Amino acid sequence: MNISMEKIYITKTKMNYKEQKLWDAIREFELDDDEAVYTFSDRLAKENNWSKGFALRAIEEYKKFIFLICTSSQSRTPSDEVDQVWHLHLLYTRSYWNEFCRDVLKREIHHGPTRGGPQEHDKFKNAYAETLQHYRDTFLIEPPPDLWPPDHLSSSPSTFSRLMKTWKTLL
Amino acid sequence: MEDIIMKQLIQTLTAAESLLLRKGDSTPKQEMLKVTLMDLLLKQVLMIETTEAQSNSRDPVRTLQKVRRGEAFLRYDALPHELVYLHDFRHSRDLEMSFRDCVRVGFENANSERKLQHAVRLSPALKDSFRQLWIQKIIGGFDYTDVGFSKRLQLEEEIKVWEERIPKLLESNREQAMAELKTLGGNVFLLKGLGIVLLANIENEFFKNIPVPEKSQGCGGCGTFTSYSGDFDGSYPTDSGGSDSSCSGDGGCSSGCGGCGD
Repeated sequence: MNISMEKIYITKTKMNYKEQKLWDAIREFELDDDEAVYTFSDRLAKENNWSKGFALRAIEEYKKFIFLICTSSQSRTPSDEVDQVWHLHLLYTRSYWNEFCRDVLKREIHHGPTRGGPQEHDKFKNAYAETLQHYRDTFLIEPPPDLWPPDHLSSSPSTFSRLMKTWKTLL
Repeated sequence: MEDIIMKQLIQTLTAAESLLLRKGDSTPKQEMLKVTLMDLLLKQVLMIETTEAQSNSRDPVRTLQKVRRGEAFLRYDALPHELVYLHDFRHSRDLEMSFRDCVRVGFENANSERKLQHAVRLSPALKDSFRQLWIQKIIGGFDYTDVGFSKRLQLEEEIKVWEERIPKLLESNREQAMAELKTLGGNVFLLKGLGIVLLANIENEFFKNIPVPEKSQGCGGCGTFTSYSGDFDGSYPTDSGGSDSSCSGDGGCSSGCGGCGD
Protein backbone atom coordinates (compact mmCIF):
# COMPACT_ATOMS: atom_id res chain seq x y z
CA MET A 1 0.00 0.00 0.00
CA ASN A 2 2.70 2.44 1.00
CA ILE A 3 4.79 1.50 -1.99
CA SER A 4 2.00 2.20 -4.43
CA MET A 5 1.23 5.55 -2.80
CA GLU A 6 4.87 6.50 -3.06
CA LYS A 7 4.83 5.66 -6.73
CA ILE A 8 1.85 7.91 -7.25
CA TYR A 9 3.62 10.84 -5.65
CA ILE A 10 6.74 10.28 -7.69
CA THR A 11 4.83 10.37 -10.93
CA LYS A 12 3.11 13.57 -9.94
CA THR A 13 6.17 15.49 -8.91
CA LYS A 14 9.58 16.19 -10.27
CA MET A 15 11.78 15.17 -7.40
CA ASN A 16 14.82 13.07 -6.97
CA TYR A 17 14.94 10.37 -4.34
CA LYS A 18 16.40 12.61 -1.64
CA GLU A 19 13.85 15.34 -2.28
CA GLN A 20 11.07 12.82 -2.30
CA LYS A 21 12.13 11.56 1.12
CA LEU A 22 12.18 15.10 2.44
CA TRP A 23 8.79 15.89 0.95
CA ASP A 24 7.31 12.74 2.48
CA ALA A 25 8.71 13.74 5.86
CA ILE A 26 7.30 17.25 5.57
CA ARG A 27 3.91 15.94 4.48
CA GLU A 28 3.79 13.56 7.39
CA PHE A 29 4.59 16.26 9.89
CA GLU A 30 1.51 16.98 11.96
CA LEU A 31 0.77 20.55 12.91
CA ASP A 32 -2.49 19.53 14.51
CA ASP A 33 -2.38 17.67 17.76
CA ASP A 34 -5.30 15.32 17.23
CA GLU A 35 -5.92 15.11 20.95
CA ALA A 36 -6.19 18.87 21.37
CA VAL A 37 -9.61 20.40 21.68
CA TYR A 38 -8.46 23.55 19.94
CA THR A 39 -6.01 22.54 17.25
CA PHE A 40 -3.55 24.51 15.16
CA SER A 41 -5.91 24.47 12.17
CA ASP A 42 -8.83 25.54 14.37
CA ARG A 43 -6.84 28.53 15.54
CA LEU A 44 -5.64 29.32 12.04
CA ALA A 45 -9.19 29.24 10.71
CA LYS A 46 -10.53 31.36 13.52
CA GLU A 47 -7.83 34.01 13.46
CA ASN A 48 -8.11 34.48 9.73
CA ASN A 49 -11.83 34.01 9.47
CA TRP A 50 -11.29 31.04 7.17
CA SER A 51 -13.29 27.89 6.87
CA LYS A 52 -11.76 24.77 8.36
CA GLY A 53 -11.28 23.32 4.91
CA PHE A 54 -9.48 26.41 3.68
CA ALA A 55 -7.21 26.38 6.72
CA LEU A 56 -6.28 22.74 6.07
CA ARG A 57 -5.52 23.57 2.47
CA ALA A 58 -3.41 26.54 3.56
CA ILE A 59 -1.39 24.21 5.81
CA GLU A 60 -0.83 21.89 2.86
CA GLU A 61 0.48 24.83 0.83
CA TYR A 62 2.66 25.97 3.71
CA LYS A 63 4.32 22.56 3.72
CA LYS A 64 4.94 22.87 0.00
CA PHE A 65 6.41 26.31 0.52
CA ILE A 66 8.80 25.04 3.17
CA PHE A 67 9.83 22.27 0.83
CA LEU A 68 10.56 24.84 -1.88
CA ILE A 69 12.77 26.75 0.57
CA CYS A 70 14.66 23.57 1.39
CA THR A 71 15.26 22.73 -2.24
CA SER A 72 16.41 26.14 -3.37
CA SER A 73 19.53 28.16 -2.82
CA GLN A 74 17.51 31.34 -3.34
CA SER A 75 15.19 33.06 -0.92
CA ARG A 76 11.55 32.10 -1.38
CA THR A 77 8.48 34.25 -0.70
CA PRO A 78 5.07 32.94 0.41
CA SER A 79 1.67 34.30 -0.44
CA ASP A 80 -0.12 36.18 2.30
CA GLU A 81 -2.23 33.12 3.12
CA VAL A 82 0.75 30.81 3.40
CA ASP A 83 2.52 33.46 5.42
CA GLN A 84 -0.30 33.39 7.97
CA VAL A 85 0.29 29.69 8.50
CA TRP A 86 3.98 30.35 8.91
CA HIS A 87 3.36 33.14 11.44
CA LEU A 88 1.17 30.91 13.52
CA HIS A 89 3.56 28.00 13.35
CA LEU A 90 6.33 30.27 14.58
CA LEU A 91 4.27 30.88 17.70
CA TYR A 92 4.37 27.18 18.45
CA THR A 93 8.09 27.46 19.12
CA ARG A 94 8.73 23.90 20.23
CA SER A 95 6.88 22.49 17.23
CA TYR A 96 8.52 24.88 14.80
CA TRP A 97 12.14 24.96 15.94
CA ASN A 98 12.60 21.56 17.53
CA GLU A 99 10.22 19.19 15.87
CA PHE A 100 9.96 20.71 12.43
CA CYS A 101 13.25 22.49 11.72
CA ARG A 102 15.64 20.40 13.78
CA ASP A 103 14.07 16.94 13.52
CA VAL A 104 12.36 16.95 10.13
CA LEU A 105 14.12 19.55 7.99
CA LYS A 106 17.51 19.22 9.72
CA ARG A 107 18.04 22.91 9.24
CA GLU A 108 16.83 26.25 10.52
CA ILE A 109 14.37 28.17 8.39
CA HIS A 110 14.20 31.78 9.42
CA HIS A 111 11.37 34.14 8.74
CA GLY A 112 12.33 37.54 7.46
CA PRO A 113 9.73 40.30 7.24
CA THR A 114 10.32 43.01 4.68
CA ARG A 115 12.33 46.07 5.65
CA GLY A 116 10.10 48.20 3.45
CA GLY A 117 10.91 50.57 0.63
CA PRO A 118 10.70 50.24 -3.14
CA GLN A 119 13.82 48.10 -3.40
CA GLU A 120 12.44 45.55 -0.98
CA HIS A 121 9.11 45.69 -2.75
CA ASP A 122 10.73 44.75 -6.05
CA LYS A 123 12.85 42.12 -4.38
CA PHE A 124 9.85 40.36 -2.85
CA LYS A 125 7.80 40.73 -6.00
CA ASN A 126 10.50 38.99 -8.01
CA ALA A 127 11.06 36.37 -5.33
CA TYR A 128 7.34 35.64 -5.27
CA ALA A 129 7.24 35.15 -9.03
CA GLU A 130 10.24 32.83 -8.78
CA THR A 131 8.57 30.93 -5.96
CA LEU A 132 5.48 30.34 -8.11
CA GLN A 133 7.64 29.08 -10.94
CA HIS A 134 9.58 26.84 -8.59
CA TYR A 135 6.26 25.49 -7.34
CA ARG A 136 5.11 24.67 -10.88
CA ASP A 137 8.40 23.03 -11.76
CA THR A 138 8.41 20.94 -8.60
CA PHE A 139 4.83 19.85 -8.14
CA LEU A 140 3.89 19.96 -11.83
CA ILE A 141 0.62 21.77 -11.13
CA GLU A 142 -0.51 25.36 -11.00
CA PRO A 143 -0.48 26.80 -7.49
CA PRO A 144 -4.13 27.17 -6.38
CA PRO A 145 -4.94 30.85 -7.07
CA ASP A 146 -6.98 31.33 -3.91
CA LEU A 147 -3.92 30.42 -1.83
CA TRP A 148 -1.26 31.66 -4.21
CA PRO A 149 -2.71 34.74 -5.93
CA PRO A 150 -0.86 35.48 -9.18
CA ASP A 151 -0.22 39.01 -8.00
CA HIS A 152 1.61 38.90 -4.71
CA LEU A 153 0.50 42.30 -3.50
CA SER A 154 -3.16 42.07 -4.41
CA SER A 155 -5.58 42.20 -1.53
CA SER A 156 -6.72 38.76 -0.57
CA PRO A 157 -9.81 37.80 1.41
CA SER A 158 -7.65 36.96 4.40
CA THR A 159 -6.03 40.41 4.36
CA PHE A 160 -9.49 41.91 4.29
CA SER A 161 -10.58 39.71 7.21
CA ARG A 162 -7.62 40.81 9.28
CA LEU A 163 -8.30 44.46 8.51
CA MET A 164 -11.91 43.99 9.57
CA LYS A 165 -10.78 42.32 12.76
CA THR A 166 -8.44 45.19 13.56
CA TRP A 167 -11.21 47.65 12.80
CA LYS A 168 -13.59 45.87 15.15
CA THR A 169 -10.93 45.87 17.88
CA LEU A 170 -10.42 49.59 17.45
CA LEU A 171 -14.13 50.22 17.70
CA MET B 1 -36.73 -12.67 -6.06
CA GLU B 2 -37.66 -10.86 -9.26
CA ASP B 3 -38.04 -7.50 -7.58
CA ILE B 4 -34.54 -7.83 -6.14
CA ILE B 5 -32.92 -8.47 -9.50
CA MET B 6 -34.69 -5.61 -11.25
CA LYS B 7 -33.17 -2.20 -10.84
CA GLN B 8 -34.99 -0.67 -7.94
CA LEU B 9 -35.55 2.92 -6.94
CA ILE B 10 -33.24 2.50 -3.95
CA GLN B 11 -30.42 1.47 -6.26
CA THR B 12 -30.71 4.72 -8.17
CA LEU B 13 -30.52 6.96 -5.12
CA THR B 14 -27.65 8.04 -2.94
CA ALA B 15 -28.17 7.34 0.73
CA ALA B 16 -28.80 11.03 1.46
CA GLU B 17 -31.43 11.16 -1.27
CA SER B 18 -33.11 8.09 0.18
CA LEU B 19 -33.11 9.66 3.62
CA LEU B 20 -34.66 12.85 2.35
CA LEU B 21 -37.26 10.96 0.40
CA ARG B 22 -38.22 9.03 3.53
CA LYS B 23 -38.13 11.79 6.10
CA GLY B 24 -38.81 14.93 4.11
CA ASP B 25 -38.01 18.23 5.76
CA SER B 26 -37.39 16.57 9.11
CA THR B 27 -34.28 14.79 7.84
CA PRO B 28 -31.46 15.63 10.26
CA LYS B 29 -28.34 17.25 8.88
CA GLN B 30 -26.15 14.85 10.82
CA GLU B 31 -27.68 11.77 9.24
CA MET B 32 -27.40 13.18 5.73
CA LEU B 33 -23.75 13.97 6.34
CA LYS B 34 -22.99 10.54 7.78
CA VAL B 35 -24.41 8.60 4.88
CA THR B 36 -23.01 10.97 2.29
CA LEU B 37 -19.48 10.52 3.52
CA MET B 38 -19.97 6.78 3.66
CA ASP B 39 -21.33 6.76 0.13
CA LEU B 40 -18.28 8.65 -1.13
CA LEU B 41 -15.95 6.21 0.58
CA LEU B 42 -17.82 3.24 -0.86
CA LYS B 43 -17.61 4.71 -4.34
CA GLN B 44 -13.89 5.33 -3.75
CA VAL B 45 -14.32 8.99 -4.55
CA LEU B 46 -12.58 9.51 -1.23
CA MET B 47 -10.43 7.01 0.55
CA ILE B 48 -9.06 6.50 4.00
CA GLU B 49 -5.39 5.81 4.36
CA THR B 50 -3.87 4.67 7.59
CA THR B 51 -0.71 6.43 8.61
CA GLU B 52 1.41 6.47 11.69
CA ALA B 53 2.00 9.91 13.06
CA GLN B 54 3.65 11.57 15.97
CA SER B 55 2.41 15.03 16.82
CA ASN B 56 5.65 15.74 18.60
CA SER B 57 8.66 13.86 19.87
CA ARG B 58 7.24 13.75 23.40
CA ASP B 59 4.12 11.85 22.36
CA PRO B 60 3.93 8.23 21.28
CA VAL B 61 3.42 7.28 17.65
CA ARG B 62 -0.27 7.02 16.87
CA THR B 63 -2.21 5.47 14.06
CA LEU B 64 -4.24 8.02 12.17
CA GLN B 65 -6.80 7.63 9.45
CA LYS B 66 -6.36 10.24 6.79
CA VAL B 67 -8.99 11.01 4.21
CA ARG B 68 -7.74 11.86 0.75
CA ARG B 69 -8.81 11.64 -2.88
CA GLY B 70 -9.80 8.15 -3.92
CA GLU B 71 -9.26 6.33 -7.18
CA ALA B 72 -12.60 7.43 -8.62
CA PHE B 73 -12.23 11.07 -7.61
CA LEU B 74 -11.33 12.58 -10.97
CA ARG B 75 -13.98 10.81 -12.99
CA TYR B 76 -16.76 11.18 -10.46
CA ASP B 77 -19.63 13.51 -11.31
CA ALA B 78 -20.50 14.90 -7.90
CA LEU B 79 -23.99 15.78 -6.76
CA PRO B 80 -24.57 19.13 -5.05
CA HIS B 81 -24.85 17.69 -1.53
CA GLU B 82 -21.63 15.72 -1.98
CA LEU B 83 -19.65 18.89 -2.57
CA VAL B 84 -19.65 19.59 1.16
CA TYR B 85 -16.94 16.96 1.37
CA LEU B 86 -15.42 17.21 -2.08
CA HIS B 87 -15.02 20.97 -2.46
CA ASP B 88 -11.68 21.28 -0.68
CA PHE B 89 -10.26 18.13 -2.26
CA ARG B 90 -11.16 19.53 -5.66
CA HIS B 91 -9.03 22.58 -5.01
CA SER B 92 -6.01 20.80 -3.60
CA ARG B 93 -4.77 17.64 -5.27
CA ASP B 94 -2.59 16.56 -2.37
CA LEU B 95 -4.92 17.50 0.46
CA GLU B 96 -5.37 14.97 3.21
CA MET B 97 -7.11 15.39 6.51
CA SER B 98 -7.96 13.33 9.52
CA PHE B 99 -11.34 11.68 9.60
CA ARG B 100 -12.33 14.03 12.39
CA ASP B 101 -11.39 17.06 10.33
CA CYS B 102 -13.20 15.68 7.32
CA VAL B 103 -16.36 15.39 9.38
CA ARG B 104 -15.95 18.95 10.61
CA VAL B 105 -15.31 20.27 7.13
CA GLY B 106 -18.50 18.57 5.99
CA PHE B 107 -20.49 20.08 8.83
CA GLU B 108 -19.10 23.51 8.19
CA ASN B 109 -19.49 23.44 4.41
CA ALA B 110 -23.02 22.08 4.71
CA ASN B 111 -24.02 25.17 6.62
CA SER B 112 -27.56 24.79 7.98
CA GLU B 113 -29.85 21.79 7.85
CA ARG B 114 -32.14 23.68 5.47
CA LYS B 115 -29.31 24.39 3.07
CA LEU B 116 -28.16 20.80 3.07
CA GLN B 117 -31.69 19.55 2.48
CA HIS B 118 -31.94 22.02 -0.38
CA ALA B 119 -28.70 20.69 -1.85
CA VAL B 120 -30.02 17.13 -1.69
CA ARG B 121 -33.26 18.22 -3.34
CA LEU B 122 -31.25 19.54 -6.29
CA SER B 123 -30.28 15.99 -7.23
CA PRO B 124 -31.71 14.92 -10.60
CA ALA B 125 -33.03 11.73 -8.99
CA LEU B 126 -35.34 13.79 -6.78
CA LYS B 127 -36.53 16.10 -9.52
CA ASP B 128 -40.28 16.70 -9.20
CA SER B 129 -40.39 14.97 -5.83
CA PHE B 130 -40.80 18.05 -3.69
CA ARG B 131 -42.42 21.44 -3.89
CA GLN B 132 -41.98 24.56 -1.84
CA LEU B 133 -44.57 27.28 -1.32
CA TRP B 134 -43.42 30.88 -1.12
CA ILE B 135 -44.02 30.97 2.61
CA GLN B 136 -41.92 27.82 3.02
CA LYS B 137 -39.12 29.52 1.14
CA ILE B 138 -39.07 32.06 3.95
CA ILE B 139 -39.73 30.00 7.04
CA GLY B 140 -38.40 26.69 5.78
CA GLY B 141 -39.88 23.34 4.96
CA PHE B 142 -41.18 21.70 1.83
CA ASP B 143 -43.85 19.20 0.82
CA TYR B 144 -43.97 16.09 -1.29
CA THR B 145 -45.44 16.30 -4.75
CA ASP B 146 -47.63 13.42 -5.89
CA VAL B 147 -44.63 11.99 -7.68
CA GLY B 148 -42.50 12.35 -4.58
CA PHE B 149 -45.09 10.77 -2.37
CA SER B 150 -45.43 7.72 -4.58
CA LYS B 151 -41.64 7.44 -4.77
CA ARG B 152 -41.50 7.53 -1.00
CA LEU B 153 -44.02 4.71 -0.73
CA GLN B 154 -42.10 2.72 -3.28
CA LEU B 155 -38.84 3.28 -1.42
CA GLU B 156 -40.37 2.26 1.90
CA GLU B 157 -41.70 -0.88 0.31
CA GLU B 158 -38.33 -1.73 -1.21
CA ILE B 159 -36.51 -1.15 2.07
CA LYS B 160 -38.99 -3.38 3.86
CA VAL B 161 -38.33 -6.19 1.39
CA TRP B 162 -34.57 -5.80 1.76
CA GLU B 163 -34.81 -5.78 5.55
CA GLU B 164 -36.72 -9.04 5.52
CA ARG B 165 -34.68 -10.72 2.83
CA ILE B 166 -31.09 -9.91 3.68
CA PRO B 167 -30.74 -11.45 7.17
CA LYS B 168 -32.10 -14.75 5.84
CA LEU B 169 -29.91 -14.63 2.77
CA LEU B 170 -26.86 -13.87 4.87
CA GLU B 171 -27.45 -17.06 6.75
CA SER B 172 -28.08 -19.24 3.72
CA ASN B 173 -25.83 -17.67 1.09
CA ARG B 174 -23.53 -15.02 2.44
CA GLU B 175 -21.75 -14.44 -0.84
CA GLN B 176 -24.91 -13.68 -2.71
CA ALA B 177 -26.15 -11.50 0.11
CA MET B 178 -23.00 -9.43 -0.02
CA ALA B 179 -23.20 -9.13 -3.80
CA GLU B 180 -26.76 -7.89 -3.55
CA LEU B 181 -26.00 -5.50 -0.72
CA LYS B 182 -23.26 -3.92 -2.78
CA THR B 183 -25.84 -2.83 -5.32
CA LEU B 184 -27.37 -0.67 -2.61
CA GLY B 185 -24.23 1.34 -2.00
CA GLY B 186 -24.52 3.53 1.08
CA ASN B 187 -28.23 2.73 1.36
CA VAL B 188 -27.25 -0.50 3.07
CA PHE B 189 -26.77 1.46 6.25
CA LEU B 190 -30.37 2.60 6.17
CA LEU B 191 -31.54 -0.97 6.61
CA LYS B 192 -32.62 -1.91 10.10
CA GLY B 193 -32.48 -5.22 11.82
CA LEU B 194 -29.24 -6.48 10.35
CA GLY B 195 -27.71 -6.74 13.79
CA ILE B 196 -24.32 -5.74 15.06
CA VAL B 197 -22.47 -8.87 14.00
CA LEU B 198 -23.88 -8.80 10.51
CA LEU B 199 -23.12 -5.14 10.16
CA ALA B 200 -19.58 -5.78 11.26
CA ASN B 201 -19.30 -8.42 8.54
CA ILE B 202 -20.68 -6.03 6.00
CA GLU B 203 -18.21 -3.44 7.16
CA ASN B 204 -15.36 -5.84 6.67
CA GLU B 205 -16.60 -6.72 3.24
CA PHE B 206 -17.21 -3.17 2.13
CA PHE B 207 -14.41 -1.39 3.86
CA LYS B 208 -11.56 -3.82 3.56
CA ASN B 209 -9.05 -1.02 3.56
CA ILE B 210 -10.63 0.87 6.40
CA PRO B 211 -9.50 -0.21 9.84
CA VAL B 212 -12.10 -0.31 12.55
CA PRO B 213 -11.18 2.39 15.03
CA GLU B 214 -10.24 1.47 18.54
CA LYS B 215 -13.13 3.40 19.99
CA SER B 216 -15.60 1.39 17.91
CA GLN B 217 -18.94 0.84 19.57
CA GLY B 218 -21.43 -1.23 17.71
CA CYS B 219 -25.04 -0.33 17.36
CA GLY B 220 -27.66 -1.29 14.86
CA GLY B 221 -28.31 0.77 11.83
CA CYS B 222 -25.11 2.70 11.41
CA GLY B 223 -22.25 0.33 10.79
CA THR B 224 -18.88 1.88 10.26
CA PHE B 225 -20.10 5.33 10.96
CA THR B 226 -21.23 4.33 14.35
CA SER B 227 -17.60 3.88 15.08
CA TYR B 228 -16.99 7.47 14.25
CA SER B 229 -20.22 8.81 15.65
CA GLY B 230 -18.27 10.73 18.24
CA ASP B 231 -16.87 12.79 15.43
CA PHE B 232 -20.34 13.54 14.16
CA ASP B 233 -21.93 14.00 17.54
CA GLY B 234 -19.14 15.94 19.17
CA SER B 235 -19.58 19.59 19.61
CA TYR B 236 -17.35 21.99 17.80
CA PRO B 237 -14.30 23.38 19.48
CA THR B 238 -14.86 26.68 21.08
CA ASP B 239 -12.30 29.38 21.31
CA SER B 240 -10.60 28.12 24.38
CA GLY B 241 -7.17 28.85 23.12
CA GLY B 242 -6.49 31.34 25.83
CA SER B 243 -5.01 34.72 25.31
CA ASP B 244 -2.03 35.04 23.11
CA SER B 245 0.09 38.07 22.80
CA SER B 246 -0.71 39.85 19.61
CA CYS B 247 1.52 39.81 16.59
CA SER B 248 0.22 43.13 15.37
CA GLY B 249 3.54 44.78 15.89
CA ASP B 250 4.95 42.76 13.05
CA GLY B 251 4.12 45.43 10.54
CA GLY B 252 4.77 44.82 6.91
CA CYS B 253 4.70 41.06 6.99
CA SER B 254 1.78 40.80 4.68
CA SER B 255 3.55 42.82 2.05
CA GLY B 256 6.54 40.55 1.90
CA CYS B 257 8.17 37.82 3.89
CA GLY B 258 10.92 35.58 2.87
CA GLY B 259 12.57 32.46 4.08
CA CYS B 260 15.93 31.02 3.46
CA GLY B 261 17.29 27.78 4.72
CA ASP B 262 20.82 28.92 5.03
